[in-house]
Amino acid sequence: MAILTRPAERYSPSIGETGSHADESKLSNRSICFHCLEPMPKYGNLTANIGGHVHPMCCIGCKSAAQYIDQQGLTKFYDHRDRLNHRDFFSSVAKSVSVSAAEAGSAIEDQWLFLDRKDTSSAYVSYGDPQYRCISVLVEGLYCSSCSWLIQRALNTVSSNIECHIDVDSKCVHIKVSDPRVVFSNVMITIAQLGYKPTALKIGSHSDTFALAKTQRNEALKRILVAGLGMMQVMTYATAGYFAGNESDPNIDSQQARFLLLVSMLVATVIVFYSGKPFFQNAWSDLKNRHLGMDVPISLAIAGAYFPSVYHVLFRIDSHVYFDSAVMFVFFLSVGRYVEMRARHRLSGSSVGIAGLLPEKVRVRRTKASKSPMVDIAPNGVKLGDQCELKASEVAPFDAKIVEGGGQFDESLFCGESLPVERAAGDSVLAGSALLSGAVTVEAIQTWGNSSIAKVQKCIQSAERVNADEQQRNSLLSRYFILFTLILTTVTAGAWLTIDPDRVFEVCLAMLIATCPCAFALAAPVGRSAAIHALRRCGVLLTNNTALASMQRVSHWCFDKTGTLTEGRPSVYDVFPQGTLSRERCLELVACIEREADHVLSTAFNTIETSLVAHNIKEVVGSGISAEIGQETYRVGKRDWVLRNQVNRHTIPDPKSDRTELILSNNSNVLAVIELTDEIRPSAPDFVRNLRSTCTTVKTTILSGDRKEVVSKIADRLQIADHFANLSPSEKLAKIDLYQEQGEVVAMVGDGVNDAPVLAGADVSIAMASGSHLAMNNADVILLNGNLRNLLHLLKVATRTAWITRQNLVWALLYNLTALPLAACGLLTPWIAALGMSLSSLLVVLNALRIHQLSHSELETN
Amino acid sequence: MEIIYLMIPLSLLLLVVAIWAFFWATRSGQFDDLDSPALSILDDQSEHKE
Repeated sequence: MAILTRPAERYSPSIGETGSHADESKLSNRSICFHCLEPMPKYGNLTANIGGHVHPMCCIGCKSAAQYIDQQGLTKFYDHRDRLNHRDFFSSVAKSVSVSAAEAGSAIEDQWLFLDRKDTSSAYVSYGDPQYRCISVLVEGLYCSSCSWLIQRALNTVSSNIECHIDVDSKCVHIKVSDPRVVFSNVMITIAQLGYKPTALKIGSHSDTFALAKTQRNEALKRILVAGLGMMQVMTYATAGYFAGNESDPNIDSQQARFLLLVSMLVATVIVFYSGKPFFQNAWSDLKNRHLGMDVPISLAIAGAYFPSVYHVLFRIDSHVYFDSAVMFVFFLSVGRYVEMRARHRLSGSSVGIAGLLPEKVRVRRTKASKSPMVDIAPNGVKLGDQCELKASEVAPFDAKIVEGGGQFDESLFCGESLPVERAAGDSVLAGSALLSGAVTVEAIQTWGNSSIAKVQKCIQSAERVNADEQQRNSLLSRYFILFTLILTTVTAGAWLTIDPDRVFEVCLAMLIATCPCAFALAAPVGRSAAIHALRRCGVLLTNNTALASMQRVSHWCFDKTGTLTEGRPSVYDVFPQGTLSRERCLELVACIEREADHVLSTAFNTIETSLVAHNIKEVVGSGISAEIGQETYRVGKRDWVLRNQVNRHTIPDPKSDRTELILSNNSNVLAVIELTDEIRPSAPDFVRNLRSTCTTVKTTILSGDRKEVVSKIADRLQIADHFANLSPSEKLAKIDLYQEQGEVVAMVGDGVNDAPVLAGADVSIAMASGSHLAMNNADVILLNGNLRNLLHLLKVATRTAWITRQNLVWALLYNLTALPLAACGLLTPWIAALGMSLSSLLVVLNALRIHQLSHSELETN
Repeated sequence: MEIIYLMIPLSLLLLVVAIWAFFWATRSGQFDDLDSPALSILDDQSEHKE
């Protein structure tokens, strides 16, 4: 138990005071949520009893996740997280998801029932053996090994017969069940209760890329092992062989020496053809495409060492054999490739496209077709005039006009509007807007090709092409280098033909091996790999190779507002009691009433716990809620509506333009005015200040789709002079294009769908993990915990990586430049060349590890 | 030194066994998650005690 309390003591020093109820509201102002470690909101009184201690909780999402973890006896998890040093990022991830889980409310239980029904489950559940059922689940928010530990343990409490494999890289949990009593909906609920967001994967659908990556990794591992073990054997035989020629050593006669040669040929054959296969394959396809890749000289060197040696052994020509050089070469190259591949696979890009935002199928009424008016279509098959009905929490599948009904829409995905918008009949809604409350019938007014979603998609594609061009230029450079070494080798061969024709072959081989740009090729991927690892620890995921390199050249930072600089959800800004009731009491009343409502504003009261019970709750869509608590009737809602229902007309302060207000009243009096606002992230001012102090020339700009007043207010508070409001996705992109034309390197930080095009177009793009999938897909960097300060780490690691990679490149170049003339002069035998190449690669790897270690100690001190 | 005619094939046999074992380990997912098993040893509250 002593261990269990340790994290709490560290993060919230005043935890001892939580014992009495009276202290809680006071305490919560200056402490940290035990579950997600984010600062507690200004108005919040939630606590949870975890492992016998009362800990503060910032929201209902965190509280329910923490309580569930406690019930399952998994409190060790908080310990692991501490020990692992993942504390800063891991659970904030779980938080962003758990808030939405709490919002979903009761729907959570029914959501996965389709996995248990025979007719609907066949696309998801596979039957390996008759008695086994398997399912793959993509778990959003799964980022580290303590997450996987937690999931594994929690699933074991469902049934001890659940076997699960958790692939942290791909965020996939593969579950295999032999017990017929286990139902998969239960499994999903368990994962969701922990605070993650599970999605069942269709068999063979987009898990394919992950599966492919896994097979590739396993194949590469096998190749390395075969090459490694085989290499040791061949080396042993070769060492024995060195003495065989020696007349003074009678221990090995020529018969035995030949036996050794035959055995090493056997082993080398396996290695060259099994482990070396990818090099030959790549070289062959390179040649077919008339493209000079690095695998061409590599294959030449392997084949050049292997085939002549085979010829010499078979025809008993007394000459050097190079099996040892060949296998060593294959082994070290395979290891290098593996490191590079891991770095590539670790880039955690997901494959969910823009269409993933919309429902897969919608039931529409074809108003223009006489027969069978009701059809199920995919959103891209929509025709003008199609009508469909939307209920609360559903997403508009196409750009449409409301023909009937009305309700509140969340349009934050497209236009960055931070607060819900009222829409009634005659108004239009964009595809992807979520209906929060009410019910509407909408009619399509755009075909798929003209819809807002398709336009965003086009924007993204055109922006992406620019980046691809740049990569092509880089590969051109290495092609020239390869061409250069090949020509030089041929020239040297010509020269040696005239000097000593016997040694031509040996010299060429040594040259090919020595100049193999191995350390050269390794320098960048190894540095990147170390940086990825270091960054992952502080909650920054890289998804793109070029991001690190461009990072330190960034001269202009652009930010989206909603969800990036701000939290992206409303929170209580201030409470102005108008009567005799205290602030706490007013908030409790509102929280009690709002708990029953399910619109966005009500999430602001997730932070307040109350024992009050409301009866007779009536929600007036778009206006407010009335409810009875005890003997009294209370109303919470918009100013007009509350005042209209009120006897005693009070003078209450005028509304402020940038905040949303809620008025609480009883039957006779206004009790309080509560201001809600989309609060600035606590880390934002700090980050902007630090950014300015570390690099004084850097510019900052806010690009938002939100209203002018709101944006300028935020810009003032952050002291960002340049800010633009009311921008459409394409206008944002145009702004960035303009900056880029002026020669600036632009970094964009954003989260919504409306940021996706601009993220794709920026030199470095950073998305918040709590944002949309689409934004994350187009970002080079994903910020897991919404802590903008981590971007400073990113900058630091990027600078260090660039510096160490440059050291490595210089070293590799120096090595190649010294080895090349030595080899050309015939001073290097092939095996020494292979050894030198390996050692230089090793040095590069060891040097790159320093990125990892330095950043580790630095994170500790922070 | 005639012994090498026996020992070397034997060592090769051993090599084949080692490679087979490794292939099996790869196939059964032993290399999928290299981080979390390292933590299980820190978990002093094993299930049967709970």
